Amino acid sequence: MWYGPNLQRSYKYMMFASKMPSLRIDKSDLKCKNGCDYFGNPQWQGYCSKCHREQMQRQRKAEKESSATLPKPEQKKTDRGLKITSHSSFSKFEEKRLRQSETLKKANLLKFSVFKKSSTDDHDHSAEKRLPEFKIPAMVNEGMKSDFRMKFSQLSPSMDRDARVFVHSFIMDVIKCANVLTVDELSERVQRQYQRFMRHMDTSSHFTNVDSDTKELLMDFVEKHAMTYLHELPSVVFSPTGTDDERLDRAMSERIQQLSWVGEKHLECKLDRSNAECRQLLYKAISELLGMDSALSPGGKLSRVRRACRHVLRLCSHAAPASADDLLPALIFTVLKANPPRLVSNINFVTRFCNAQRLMTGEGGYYFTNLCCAVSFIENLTAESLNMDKKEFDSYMAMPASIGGSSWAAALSLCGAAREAQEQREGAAQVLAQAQQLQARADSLAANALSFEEQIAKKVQDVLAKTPLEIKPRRELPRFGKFKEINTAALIDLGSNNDTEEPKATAKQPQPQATTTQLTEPVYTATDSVEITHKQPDTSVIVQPSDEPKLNILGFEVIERESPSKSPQNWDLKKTGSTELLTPSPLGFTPFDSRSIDELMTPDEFVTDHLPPGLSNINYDIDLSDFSGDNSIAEDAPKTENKDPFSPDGLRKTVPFDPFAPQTSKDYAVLESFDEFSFVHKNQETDPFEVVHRGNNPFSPVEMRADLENDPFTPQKKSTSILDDNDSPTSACLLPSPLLPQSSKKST
Amino acid sequence: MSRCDIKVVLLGSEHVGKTSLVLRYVNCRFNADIPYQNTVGAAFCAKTVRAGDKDFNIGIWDTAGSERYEAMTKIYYRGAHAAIICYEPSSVASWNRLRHWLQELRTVEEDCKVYLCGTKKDLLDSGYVSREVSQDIVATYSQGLCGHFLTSSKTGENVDELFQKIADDCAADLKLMKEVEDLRVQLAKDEAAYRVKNNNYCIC
Repeated sequence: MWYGPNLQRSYKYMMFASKMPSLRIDKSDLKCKNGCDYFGNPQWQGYCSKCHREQMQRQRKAEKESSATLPKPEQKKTDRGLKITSHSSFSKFEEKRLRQSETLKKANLLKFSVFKKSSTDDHDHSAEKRLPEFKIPAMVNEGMKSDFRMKFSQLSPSMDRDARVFVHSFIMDVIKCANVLTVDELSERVQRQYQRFMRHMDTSSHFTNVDSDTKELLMDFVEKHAMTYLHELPSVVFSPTGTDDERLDRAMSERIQQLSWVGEKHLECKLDRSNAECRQLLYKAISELLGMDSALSPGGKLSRVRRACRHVLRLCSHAAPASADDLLPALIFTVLKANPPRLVSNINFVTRFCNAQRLMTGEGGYYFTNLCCAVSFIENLTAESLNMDKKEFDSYMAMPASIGGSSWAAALSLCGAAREAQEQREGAAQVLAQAQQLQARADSLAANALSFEEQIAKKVQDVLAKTPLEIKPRRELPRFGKFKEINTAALIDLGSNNDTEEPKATAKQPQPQATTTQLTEPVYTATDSVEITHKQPDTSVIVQPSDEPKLNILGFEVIERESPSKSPQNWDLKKTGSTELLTPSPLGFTPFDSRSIDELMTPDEFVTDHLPPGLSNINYDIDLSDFSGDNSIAEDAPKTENKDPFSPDGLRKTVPFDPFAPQTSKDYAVLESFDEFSFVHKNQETDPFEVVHRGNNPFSPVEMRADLENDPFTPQKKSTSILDDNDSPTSACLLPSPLLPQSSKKST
Repeated sequence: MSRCDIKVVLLGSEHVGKTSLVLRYVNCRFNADIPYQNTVGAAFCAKTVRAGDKDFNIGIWDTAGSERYEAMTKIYYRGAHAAIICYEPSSVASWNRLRHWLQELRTVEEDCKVYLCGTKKDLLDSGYVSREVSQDIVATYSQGLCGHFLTSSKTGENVDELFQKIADDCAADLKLMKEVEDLRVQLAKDEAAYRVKNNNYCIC
């Protein structure tokens, strides 16, 4: 609670007056308790520093004298060997245990001295010197981290950090002070540290939302981890140097052995030794008490004691709930039978370094107090306290062991062994469980790996099934190569080419429809004828290498001979013409344009010739109608339809597309689609500025005019057109006039 | 929760009725609330009491009354907020031992509130036993103590009143302590804030 730490923490001191701090403080309270004129200090139990030192010395002396009533260890040591032989098996076991613990401690000491062997001074000074390089193993930190996460998963990591920082500073502080201060001072310091952490939790902003219960748990957590680590360091907090704890441990152990004849009837506790259940409970209590030594933190020890006492209580409460009148004798009996190793050290450790607040209140504190009482009782046990004759008591004490060696003793000695066996078994079970867990995990991992593999395999299979590896080569692309081959291979492959091409041609037809809305109808007819006639250009191609200009020339030549043969190109070009309208400006298309214009020429030629550039679209209709007048009316209608939407679309589209991005994807797609039919185009595209091409097309100038008409706003085209214009007059005169009417007629 | 806000030590010679008192108090009204009490025994009992506007957990420490353990009872006092010394009005012996504890408490635990409790009131009332300890003596002794109650564990008379009084007194005390503590905490906070502020301004 809010009690100051100025309490003596040895259970022995509890017998003497220890003053609680009160709220009212007057001047006399501040003075040294001894009455000298100096001011006292609560850290020094209210004495001034000088008197405190004197007092402490006196107390220590008194303590030694009081414990002198116990048999002296030196005295005992001489006849120990003799005793061991005469002891019952139980006491032998205890002897062994004691020796084990001693050797353990010695080993620890050795380890510790090795650890700090850099300094060669004697114990106390060397400890001081080694401090600077002393470091807390990271294991402590890691352990705390994981433990915190497990216990307080809902708390923020800042608290975790706080706790760890506190524990770190706490441990360092204790280690630093361990050899400078006396145990009681150290205990005070530890208690103040606890209070400091408590205050920190109260004041810090991290902990504002934490309720008091959690705070206490946190307090326990901190205490546990700090003390668990410190406990392992020999002679720091557990039976520290400068105390008689170890000697007292031995003395107590001897004393208990001596008193092994004390039975339940001496203590007037109601135990039913014939009752198996009762005995079972006693064994449990004993094993818990024995386990106290193996618990490392004060909290752990305390909980062991609590469990032991609960067993004892159950042992006592047959009919009515047991009260303290039953508990204490039974507990004394249990302690006598258990003879827990290092009992005094353990008790002192808890009284000194357990959080005082918990020790003074709560159930654990109560049972621990009872244990202290029991120990105190055993220490001061006399004939009167057992209500027996002094002589009888003395005689018992003189020839101990064998008298108590009843079935109880045997059973209890077994109990100790059984407990150890059980510990081993538990350990083994734990290891086994861990191994099994590990095995299970390994299995699951293997299974996972397998299933993963299968899944992957299945997925791969699925994917393969869905999309067979045999990827259809884009036939157009390879065909270019093929064509060459075909060119060499001559007609055999043509049929197959046709087969592949035909669907594509039909497939592509919708595209032009989409782009140039009504163009398709005449085109359809054209394509039909084209597909039939298409072979012819192919064959013609076979004859010629893939160069575009030549093709064109050839095409034209062919056209001159046969109108249908040219019609496929016408068709293609028409489409391209429409796309050209879409993308008038770019130079890249100019060769293409020229081509398209070639086809466009058919209707436009005359128009372009006669009309100024900007008006071409409007004039188209009229011109076409004029042309249609020459031909059949039926044919005219579709044509007009074609051109009407065509030209405005082109214009509309050109305006947005124009500016400076010549190669828009749409156009490209269209172009590519056309490329399928005429591979030569591709080449042209790749080298857009080929002059040769224009030169090859003597008719292009006219086409370029068409271009001019189509996109009047693009200067580049103008320039090209200008270039072309030079050629234009002749070409305009020569070619289009005969060609186009024919083609149109033929296409129909 | 095994933690307690108030530690009450129960003193008294054997067979005076300490355990019955505790059992009566803990089990009569809130039987269901404390399940483990019945199984574990009455040596240590905890009960939540409402005092003022707050709940307090009272931990009642039973002690062994036998005279042979008398020397050890001091260990139990330590840090106790209140002590109930029981005596039997019909037994002078129990009263004599009470005087011993009273003396001891005064010297060892000055801050511990001491309550006297005469037990087995029902027997006294029914005339089954006669009063041996005169009320005058009791009155003189209870001067300067926190209270004197005559209780009957059988009927439950005055039992709750006794513990309620303890709870109230301790609560008031604790409240005061708490206020002082809070003030201290506040001071510490202020100081920390001040230091932080100072640090901000003064880098030297």
